[in-house]
Amino acid sequence: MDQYASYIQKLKQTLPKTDFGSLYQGLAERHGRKTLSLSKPLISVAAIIMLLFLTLPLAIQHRASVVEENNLQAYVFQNDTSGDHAVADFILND
Amino acid sequence: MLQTEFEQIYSENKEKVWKIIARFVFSREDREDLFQEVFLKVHAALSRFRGEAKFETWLYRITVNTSINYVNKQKRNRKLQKLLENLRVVEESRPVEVDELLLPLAMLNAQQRMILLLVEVEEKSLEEVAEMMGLPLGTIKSNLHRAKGIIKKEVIKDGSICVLYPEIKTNPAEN
Repeated sequence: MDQYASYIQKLKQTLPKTDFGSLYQGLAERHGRKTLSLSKPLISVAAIIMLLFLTLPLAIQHRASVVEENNLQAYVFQNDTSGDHAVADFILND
Repeated sequence: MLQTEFEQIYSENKEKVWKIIARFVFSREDREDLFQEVFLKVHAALSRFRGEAKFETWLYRITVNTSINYVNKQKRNRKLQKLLENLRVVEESRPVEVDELLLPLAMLNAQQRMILLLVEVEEKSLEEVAEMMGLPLGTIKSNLHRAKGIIKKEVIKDGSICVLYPEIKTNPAEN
């Protein structure tokens, strides 16, 4: 047998050992990390939805208070036109 | 894909994949890293496996492509590291511990090494290797011929590789 053939023979006979159990565990850990990194966009979307959910009531409340203010003004001026000595007349004449 | 299905694939094919990887890269860290990378790819691609090719061919194709990309990426990283070393940005790298028996294989490029391992050690036919690697039969033949020539030279002038690869530190072959 020539040197090349005996080298290939040695290669066939020699195989570094490993612990497939711990390799599988490492594989599961790496897969978990990958899944987490893939879900980053999902986390961002969830954060935006959460932010909207928290700020929406504030926006609605603000809008409602503006409407209420408008209603109050309308109420004053409505009563103002119906009375003889209206509040607006009093202020303007004074 | 069910986890149990993957577990079954893993337990049935782990040795096949290991046999290629263990001789294709030279350090324990690289072997384990590459082995896990192959199975991560298998896990990700399993839902796309339509059964058009034989499962073994499909698995070997993933193993072969991942391994060659892994080595080429390492080569690029080493070049970058060398560049940074020259700029004195990084600390001196540790020597890589390598099985003495595998040293002649370090003289081959990733493609030649894979072809030699598949044909000579795994005893796959040239046609099978061409299909696995997605290369023409002629390319497989010429690469195998070149790889054999390099290995023959290396096994004859025993011990010269350490001079060519000073960063490689040899240790007795594991068995």
